[in-house]
Amino acid sequence: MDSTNISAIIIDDEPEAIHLLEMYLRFFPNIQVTGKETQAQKGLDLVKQNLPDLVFLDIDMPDMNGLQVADQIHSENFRSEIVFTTAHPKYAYDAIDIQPLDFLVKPFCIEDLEIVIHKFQEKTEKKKFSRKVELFIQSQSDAPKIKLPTTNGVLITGVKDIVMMKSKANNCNLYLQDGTIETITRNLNILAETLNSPALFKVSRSTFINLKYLKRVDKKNLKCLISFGHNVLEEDITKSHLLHLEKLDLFPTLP
Amino acid sequence: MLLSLVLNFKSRSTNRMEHKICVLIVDSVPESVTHTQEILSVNLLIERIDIVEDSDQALLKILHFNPDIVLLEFPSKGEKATELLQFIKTKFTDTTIVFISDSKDNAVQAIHNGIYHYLLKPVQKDKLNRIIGQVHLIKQNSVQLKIKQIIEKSTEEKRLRFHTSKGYILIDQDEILYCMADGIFTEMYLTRNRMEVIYMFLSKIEALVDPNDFLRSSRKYLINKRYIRKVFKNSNTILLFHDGKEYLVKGSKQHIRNLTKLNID
Repeated sequence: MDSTNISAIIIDDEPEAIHLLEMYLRFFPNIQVTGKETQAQKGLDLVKQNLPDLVFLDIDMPDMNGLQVADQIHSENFRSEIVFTTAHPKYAYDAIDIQPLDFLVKPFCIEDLEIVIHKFQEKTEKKKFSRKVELFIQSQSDAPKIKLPTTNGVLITGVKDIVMMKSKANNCNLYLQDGTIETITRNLNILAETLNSPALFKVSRSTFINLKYLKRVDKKNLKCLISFGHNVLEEDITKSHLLHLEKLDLFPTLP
Repeated sequence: MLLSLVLNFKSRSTNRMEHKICVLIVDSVPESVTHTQEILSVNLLIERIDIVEDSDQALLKILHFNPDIVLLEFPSKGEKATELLQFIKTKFTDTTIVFISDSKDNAVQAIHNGIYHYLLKPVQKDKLNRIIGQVHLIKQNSVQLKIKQIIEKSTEEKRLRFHTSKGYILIDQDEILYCMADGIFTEMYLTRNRMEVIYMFLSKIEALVDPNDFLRSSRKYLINKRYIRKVFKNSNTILLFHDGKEYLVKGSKQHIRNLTKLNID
């Protein structure tokens, strides 16, 4: 089994269930339980703060249903994989749309967890590989261009020419590779969704950068340095987005 | 969503027809099969429908025609039901499996197997059509297709022959920024600040270059779409940009209207 560390958070309203799962997980030295919570809302906050690889999530909880928690985790675009742990298989049909990594019906055993971890590793490898393939294809082909609305017409550009996108009220400023800045009369999130490129990475609520131009990350001061041509830009990066960036594991490094 | 938004210079309707969907129905209940088949037969994205009763027959069918979607009755009849699932998931990774079942009771098994499409019998038309739409979009965007396009493009001879006063020149069409008609001649503006007078009508050049990449923006101009940077509505002009230099050309009102039409909303 791959020895890469996998972080996990357990959310279950029954402390005994958490305890038992934690005990089982000790059999897997590469799993690190980084948090546990008996209240769904607090658990959700914990996931937001820690961005674990795996979330073991009960469904039948008093303050918030586990399906709602999973929905929120996905809607905020967290990369955590969900594993439902519940005594009620009846919830499985509703859980399908969430596309969880697995659905464990209590009582489950260590062998079930072994399958979950194996699936997680397989899925992670697959995701990494598809990202590489996607970036390779983009580098080999003429990236499709897109029409973006400006105040006096349209701008036609491709992702590779976009260095940074910054929200500006309801509009958005595009910093282009040739040093120009164009105002697009659309909201930042709509634009990012439209461009839908793995190269564009969100560094804060109001900014996306193109990873192609990222040169330096200052973890202490939460800054990232973007360089293109003779220009250099320094941008703030939030703690959670920095964590995201590191979890992407894009750039080879020494351990 | 992305496909509809991206400025795709190729004819979209042609692509749509190229990537139709093949479906295999594995179902032992004739009424259920007829119902599903009726829904599929009126969906324009469907190219082929095959029907088998059990998982044993399904294995052979899958080997023969590699379906895009397997509508699998679950639990399925036949001795090789478990093998069938594993076989599709490991050997036909681009095939989408959809569980069709009488009850919700098999949802846990679906998730265990990484199957996230689950339809209850009788299959609802809108739900099935939604899945077909998703698979169609995935097929259009498939890695294999993109790689095939890259390979085809890289092996093609891209240079075209244009007559000049002394003979002819061989030019890759990507080198052409724009062409301007000048009577029976055409001024061809090229990358790296070059210009050639071509002894051809603009319309002949238009016929020679790839229509997906070039636009006759007015009677006088033929422009390479790859270099369009901005389009100005008020002045009916198009700004081409290459290597730090800008080139302004006129466009007809109709073309400007088309170019500024957005698909972003």
